[in-house]
Amino acid sequence: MTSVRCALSGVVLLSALLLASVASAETYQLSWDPVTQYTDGSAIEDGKTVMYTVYWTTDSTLASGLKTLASSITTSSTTFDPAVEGMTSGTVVYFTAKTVLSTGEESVLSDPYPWTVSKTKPNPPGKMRIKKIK
Amino acid sequence: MKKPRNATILTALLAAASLALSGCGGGGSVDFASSPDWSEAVYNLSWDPPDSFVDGTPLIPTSDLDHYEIYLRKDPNFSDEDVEVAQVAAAAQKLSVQDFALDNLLHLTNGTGSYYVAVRAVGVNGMKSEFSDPAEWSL
Repeated sequence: MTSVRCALSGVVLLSALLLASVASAETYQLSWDPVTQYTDGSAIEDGKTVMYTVYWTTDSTLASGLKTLASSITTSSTTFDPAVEGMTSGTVVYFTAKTVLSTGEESVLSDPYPWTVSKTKPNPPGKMRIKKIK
Repeated sequence: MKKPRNATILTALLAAASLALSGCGGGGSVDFASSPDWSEAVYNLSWDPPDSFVDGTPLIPTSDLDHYEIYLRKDPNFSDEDVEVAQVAAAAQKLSVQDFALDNLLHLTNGTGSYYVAVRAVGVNGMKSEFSDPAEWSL
């Protein structure tokens, strides 16, 4: 397996275009540019399926603590719920991804994409009471 | 223990309130000529501010909340379709605001019967809480 050759050029774009946007109240979408080329600029051959495995970690160097957000997906986006993933509100997490071809070649990890975990919604006020003063 | 300051009304969305009430059977118009004398009554709504986010993260009302939204209906069935009738800053002079003078909403009522009031907390990140349990306001 040649991992170097498959350090796809698209992965470079991924770090710049990885976006986390609110898909609903508690679900976010992470997206990136599809990878279509190898690092040498040649096109990925027809018949090879391009997949992505996405990770997150609190380590900005990506050296430790990688947790899988999505594995071998063929779409160029994925959704996640920070609470379900165990992300702590208000902290910075780093996303990264690698491209995996159906033939087994893999890219290196993309540059880390930092994102501050949004705090979730507040709990509602409690003990509602109305008092007539006069 | 210090008593919190009375709420400061930031916005009274009167038109929206009329619309909301008319949409839930409350009647949008008020006949002021037949309204009772409200000058003596002072109704105060109060609540306990939330102390956590839904994920369990601790919440400090004076710094994590931006404001509260006040909702009024003729029934207790609040939903996302409802429009707030007033907004109250979550903090004033670094003190938590947790009450509101309902007299500010009397003109949205018919002056008699029961109404229901609910409050939503809005975080500085813009995220709204669910509705509080409704409080019955008997006029």
